[in-house]
Amino acid sequence: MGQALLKVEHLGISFKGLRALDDVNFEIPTSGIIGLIGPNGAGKTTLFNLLTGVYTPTDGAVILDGEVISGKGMGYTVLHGISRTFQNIRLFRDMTVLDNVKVAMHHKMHYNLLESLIKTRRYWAEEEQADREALELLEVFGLREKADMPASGLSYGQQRKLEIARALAASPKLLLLDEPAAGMNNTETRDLMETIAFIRQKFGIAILLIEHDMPLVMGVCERIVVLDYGRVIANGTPDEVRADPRVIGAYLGG
Amino acid sequence: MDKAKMLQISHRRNLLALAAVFAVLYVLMLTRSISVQYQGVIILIGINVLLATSLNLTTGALGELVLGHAGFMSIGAYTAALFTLHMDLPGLVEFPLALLLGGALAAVFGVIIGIPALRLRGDYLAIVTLGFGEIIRVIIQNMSITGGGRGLYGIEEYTTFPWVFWTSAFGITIMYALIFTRHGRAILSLRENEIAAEAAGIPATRYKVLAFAVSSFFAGVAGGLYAHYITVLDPGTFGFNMSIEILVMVVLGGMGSFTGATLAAVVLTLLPELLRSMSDYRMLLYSIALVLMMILRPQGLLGKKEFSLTRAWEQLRKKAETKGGNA
Amino acid sequence: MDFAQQLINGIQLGSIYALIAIGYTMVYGIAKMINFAHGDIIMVGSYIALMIFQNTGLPVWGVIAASALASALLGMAIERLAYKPLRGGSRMSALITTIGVSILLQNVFLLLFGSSPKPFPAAFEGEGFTLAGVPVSRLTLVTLLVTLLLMVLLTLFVGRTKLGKAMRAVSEDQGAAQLMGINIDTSISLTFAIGSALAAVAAVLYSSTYPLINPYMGSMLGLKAFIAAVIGGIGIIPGAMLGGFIIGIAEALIKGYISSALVDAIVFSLLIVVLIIKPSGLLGKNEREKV
Repeated sequence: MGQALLKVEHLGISFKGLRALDDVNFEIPTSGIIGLIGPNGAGKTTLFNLLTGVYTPTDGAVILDGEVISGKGMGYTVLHGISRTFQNIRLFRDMTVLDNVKVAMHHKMHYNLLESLIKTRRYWAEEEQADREALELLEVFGLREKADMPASGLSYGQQRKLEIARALAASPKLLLLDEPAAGMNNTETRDLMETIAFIRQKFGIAILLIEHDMPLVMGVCERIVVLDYGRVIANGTPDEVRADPRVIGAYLGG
Repeated sequence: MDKAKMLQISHRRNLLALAAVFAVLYVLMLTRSISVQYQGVIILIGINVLLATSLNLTTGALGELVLGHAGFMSIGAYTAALFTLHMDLPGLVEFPLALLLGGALAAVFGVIIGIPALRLRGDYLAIVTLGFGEIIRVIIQNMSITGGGRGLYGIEEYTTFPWVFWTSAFGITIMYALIFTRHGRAILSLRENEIAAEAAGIPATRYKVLAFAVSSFFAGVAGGLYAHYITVLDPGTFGFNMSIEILVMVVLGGMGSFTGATLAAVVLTLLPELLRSMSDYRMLLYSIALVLMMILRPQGLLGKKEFSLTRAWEQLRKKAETKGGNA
Repeated sequence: MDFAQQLINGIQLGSIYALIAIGYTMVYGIAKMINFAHGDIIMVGSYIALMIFQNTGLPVWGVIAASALASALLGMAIERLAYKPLRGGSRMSALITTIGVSILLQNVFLLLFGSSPKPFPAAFEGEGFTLAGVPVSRLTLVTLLVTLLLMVLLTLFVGRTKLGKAMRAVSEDQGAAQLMGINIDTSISLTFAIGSALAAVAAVLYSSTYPLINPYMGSMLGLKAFIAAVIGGIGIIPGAMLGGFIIGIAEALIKGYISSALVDAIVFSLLIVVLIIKPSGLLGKNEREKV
């Protein structure tokens, strides 16, 4: 494992006096796979929203590659290397599968409005480059054949994959996956586990994963952070976490 | 297969088709095979096509319902008309300048309206655009330079068929081309899912304002064309009903489809002329069409698809080939 | 005219806006749509009242009740025929449909009655009383009292009765309400019926004040009432009442002290300012979409 890519320091947020997260600390190493688990309402999605700039923290900071990125908005975080998927799939349903991916490459292209209207050489070069990259990504997820279909025509499992492909298209250093296995059957989940491991290997990026599917989390993650009532109650290897009495307590409601 | 080359071929074909349509219509007009009355209708069609496609950019592509498109049009109309009324330049110089100026001022207002679009959810924004249209109308009615409620007279009749045809064609080409760029994809993605678009790195503010600016610019240009065709401006013309008439074209053609909006604009301008006796029922029929359309086929006649001659041609050829192969 | 007189005019107009705004706000609360055709229900209510006045000897209260009943039925029918098929669809389709229904109603009445304004009989003539030297007409008094009475009744209905509570439950959470065995269709129908009936009452009061009615009278009136609902906080019944009085009084004061030609433009500007500063309205809570 390399050095820390992302540091979460004393992170906390309150909504109308309600403490949703309190003094959360953990690190994600470069190209590590970390699981984030916890009972419903523990604050997992809130943490994601803080990491991706949807919310501004009340206290503490999120530091990516030595730079504070919390509180700077969604656009800033994605441009600086954190991409995400959503718990409830959010695709551009009436756009083609290819265009879904290309939207996330927006900031990698540089031709301006005028160039796009008179179709300069740079326009064509960048568009072709984007097409190539996007198709390669779709290939990884077995979606290349579907490139020209509207995203709404994909099966549920394919839609989840397309969301991941789109998130990767922004070339993140850290990929956040919000319940990627939700609604998948066993085969699809196993398939997803392999894909996640493959993504890390191929793109060399770190992954933070919210998941309820314990076999998936235990099987693929190197470390697991456990949240309960907005606090980190455990942080360790799958075996350590599994044996932690506080974790068992939280899940059994003790 | 090189995608870029294919697109270039398709562009060239479209340009050829446009030139052919223009040539045929122009010859028919010059030889008086099309009556003067219908020449006027064709000019109105050109103006309406530009209005409908420009509204399609905000309402169809960006997905924000705009109920005050006539307001942008009126800004362009009055600006352009006042410019040619007060300038003493040759027509060939002052008319394009007037159109540009009208479009530019309309675009400024488009940006002003685009800014609340950043904070407001769809239906609220629709009401803001409606309010804006009404505010503009009231202000024009109460200004002296615009002739107030009496209107503006004596505008030069600069708008000829070639002007309308090529201005509209230019505007549609620009808006259509925009959609197939990263800027266009950004606008579409905001319609599809704003949160996902922002999470994918799309600056929502910039692209909403861009869509509003371009859309209102061409509405303003269309206004300028209208002013120099009709030669008399009355602020009452640019009311809510006109905004709705333009909206009907976009809705019927298929929200998000520029070719659909174009087609609907042609049909809906031509139909009332053909059915003069039905003119009392026009708005009644429009309203029924709107409701039925939403219930039966909310995506419009063409949906979000674009009609393409090249594609239609390819499909026909493929069909012919498979038939030939089977025989 | 002095300030007190303007204020009284404003309260009278505000009562009417408040009655109409309630319809917008209730429908928005329960069906999450801006019912553009609501303003035209006022126009329909006025024409129905006019016809009853002309063809029967019914006393004014009977006319109001009959017009309210007919309008309620019309409101329910519109919901069933035009809006219900679109439930769950896009908000833009719903809004375009309500605009379509609005234009449809205007044009049907245009064909039936022509575009020239029709005189409306003076329903509440007579002296009122004098308040601190300012004469208050009987019509003003009736308008205010009827509005207050209906508001109290509506508040009691929504707060205390089973049907009213069901309506509230549906607007809070349609899925949960359905699980609790509440009939969504009935609740939505009832909402349209109440909103339309209130609009018809407002129609008679309004037409008695400005006694010329035409097929387009409802659009601007409806828009201003809608603005009132937004300013008060859309979806919130007391907000609609508050907003109605604010718009009514503001309008009277603008007419009295600034310019009557600019009233509509200023009211719309007010709406834009409120929407930009506090989109949820005066009594509303700020909410943002869940991620």
